[in-house]
Amino acid sequence: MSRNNYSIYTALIFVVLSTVVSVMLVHGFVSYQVAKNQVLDRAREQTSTTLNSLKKSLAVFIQAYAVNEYETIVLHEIENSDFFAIIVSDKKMGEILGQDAYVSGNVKYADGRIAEYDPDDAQQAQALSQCFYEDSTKIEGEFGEVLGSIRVCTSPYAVEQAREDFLRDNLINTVAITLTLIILLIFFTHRIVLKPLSAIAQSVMQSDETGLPQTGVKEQGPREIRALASSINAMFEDIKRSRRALEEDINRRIEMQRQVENIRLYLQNVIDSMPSILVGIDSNRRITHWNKEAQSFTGTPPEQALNADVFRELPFLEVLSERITEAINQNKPVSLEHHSYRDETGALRYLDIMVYPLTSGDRRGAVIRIDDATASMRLQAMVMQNEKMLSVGGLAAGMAHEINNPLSGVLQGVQNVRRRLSEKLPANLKAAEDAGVDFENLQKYLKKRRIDEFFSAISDSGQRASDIVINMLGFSRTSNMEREATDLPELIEGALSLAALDYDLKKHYDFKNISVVREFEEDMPLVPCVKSEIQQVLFNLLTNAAHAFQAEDGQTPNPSITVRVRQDGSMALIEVEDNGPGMPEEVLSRAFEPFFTTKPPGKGTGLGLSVSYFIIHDEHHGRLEAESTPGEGTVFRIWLPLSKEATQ
Amino acid sequence: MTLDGKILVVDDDKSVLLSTVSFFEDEGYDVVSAESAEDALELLADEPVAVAVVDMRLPVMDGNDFIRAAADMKPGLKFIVLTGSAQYNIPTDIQSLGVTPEHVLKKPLVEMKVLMDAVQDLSK
Repeated sequence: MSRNNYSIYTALIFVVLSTVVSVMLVHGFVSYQVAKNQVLDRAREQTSTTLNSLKKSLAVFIQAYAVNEYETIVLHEIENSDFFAIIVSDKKMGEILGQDAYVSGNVKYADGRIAEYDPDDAQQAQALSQCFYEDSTKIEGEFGEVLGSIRVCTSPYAVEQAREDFLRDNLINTVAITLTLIILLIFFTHRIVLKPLSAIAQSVMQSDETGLPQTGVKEQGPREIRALASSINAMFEDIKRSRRALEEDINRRIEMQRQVENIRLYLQNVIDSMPSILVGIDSNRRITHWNKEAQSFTGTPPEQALNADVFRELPFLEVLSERITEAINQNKPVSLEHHSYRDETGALRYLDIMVYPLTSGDRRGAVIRIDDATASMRLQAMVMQNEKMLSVGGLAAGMAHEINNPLSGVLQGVQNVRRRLSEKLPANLKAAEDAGVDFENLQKYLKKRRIDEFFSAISDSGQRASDIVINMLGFSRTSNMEREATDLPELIEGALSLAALDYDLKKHYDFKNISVVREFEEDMPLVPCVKSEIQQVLFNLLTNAAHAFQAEDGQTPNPSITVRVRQDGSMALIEVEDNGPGMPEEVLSRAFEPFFTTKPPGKGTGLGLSVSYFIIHDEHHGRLEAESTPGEGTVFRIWLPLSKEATQ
Repeated sequence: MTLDGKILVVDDDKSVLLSTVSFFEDEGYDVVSAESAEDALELLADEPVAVAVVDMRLPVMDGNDFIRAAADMKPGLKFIVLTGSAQYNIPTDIQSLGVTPEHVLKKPLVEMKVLMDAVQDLSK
């Protein structure tokens, strides 16, 4: 049993035992001494009494030399007493016998056997040496003469007997008292202390999942234990209260943390779902935040971008270094619109950049917001172009009639003038004759002065003006023209043969020298469109491509036009690609602009592509886009909706 | 030539009127002309007109109404529409008077021969 792990019983028994034993030991020792003295006193008293009575009676018998008589008295005395030995020394008898004294007496052994005293008996000498108490007295006669002496010896057996009795009684008492005490102690301790204590312990142990007892501890038993139970209850109440408070506090904190986390996630989502690039930097231009758009714009994941130098990740910002520093130091936002730079593919891009300074505590930094304005700039340009074209369309419809009438006057007038100068009309010859003009000389004059060439020029100019008006009318077409389900490959074939015919007719070049590659997807669905308009657009793109092969700096060696048709989602896609000289960015960006042309004056109206754009975009709700790489060629893409509803 | 009657040209644009009339005259037709639909209707009452060449946009009464009135006045009269308008859709009642898309000519006429062709087509 370990020193610390003992029960209250063990402790009690130990305490009771040691107390009782030590008390008994002391008590026993004292009692024994007292008893021993009592025995001694009794022996002394008895010895003295016996000696006195014997001394008187023996003096008589010794004077009378009645040895037998006093020997009988002595034997009688030893038989009826506790005496161990009585020895008489008789000087009277000794005188007779010629000795110093006649010695006689009796010795009683431990077993009660009585023997006559024999001074030479070793056994007797041995017994006598164990004498408990002995005394002797002189036997005196009437006149004080010494007659002899008596020696009395008390038996050690009696004393030992007394001692044994005493010890036995004492031991029994001790054991009995101890046992009684222990039993009582245990009983009462159990009843008064232990039972209530274990009840408390049990109640305390019967705890629920919160670690606290469900019911309070029963307040019973002695006052101290009731006080203990009551303070345990009070303690539990305190614990419960403080635990409840703690739990509430913890729940509140968890809730707060959850809210904080929600807000954080929400903000992160907001920041990530923003279409802008958002980059946080500190005052050392180290990146502290990197949103999704930043990742998708640069391709750099946040793990890599964070803590890196912002100019390393976004090199185009480097030219703005001073302005960023200024924004941070002066705590003033800086914005820069349409900042242009060339990306790694060399394409020109426009960025809107805002630098918002941030101050949180003593930490300074900034949030840089970057929007890719390239698309919106393009869109803006397209909207402007669209508006321009709409106004051109409205203007064209109104102007057409007004222009056509004077044009009619010019063109018809010129035709009449030329007819009336020709010798083919009999009326002309007659009028000349009437006026006295020689018609042949008139012809010579006209030829010499190249009059007919002027008329041709007037006619050509009028025709060009007429062409412009007709093209401009393309903008004002109303959408009442019937859309029909059209087989695009068939339509393309028609446009190709028309283009070849037109081109050859105008004798620019032999269209047959251009290799035409057809890449038509099989099972193309029919596309709802106004056939003549789409054919006009295709014709336009094809002749443009053919013209492109005759750039100022020479002809394209192996001119080729590739026409593709395929389905692109809910749209049909037509591509017209040439391997001509291509267009630089400045030309491409204005390709759809009305009256913009790269052809020499008189060769093009600058309306073909803008009318095409109008037809595709406004009339058919499709898309027309151009892509060009200088030196490699140009591709035009037409998307037309496949469903009839989308085209309305 | 084989035309059984005169040609009436109606146009409010003097230079167009002049050149159209001159063209027909040079081709040997008898031509009468008017600068408004109202004047033209008056002429129709007196002159034996076989074909009318009509501009659409006229000062008071327009070309379509003139055709209706003229056809009412002279059943069997043939019409050629010569217009500077971007889009001219022949109204159905005028179509029923025998005016077909082939007889609708757009200004400016780059080749005036088409006028002749139309007249000859109508005189068959």
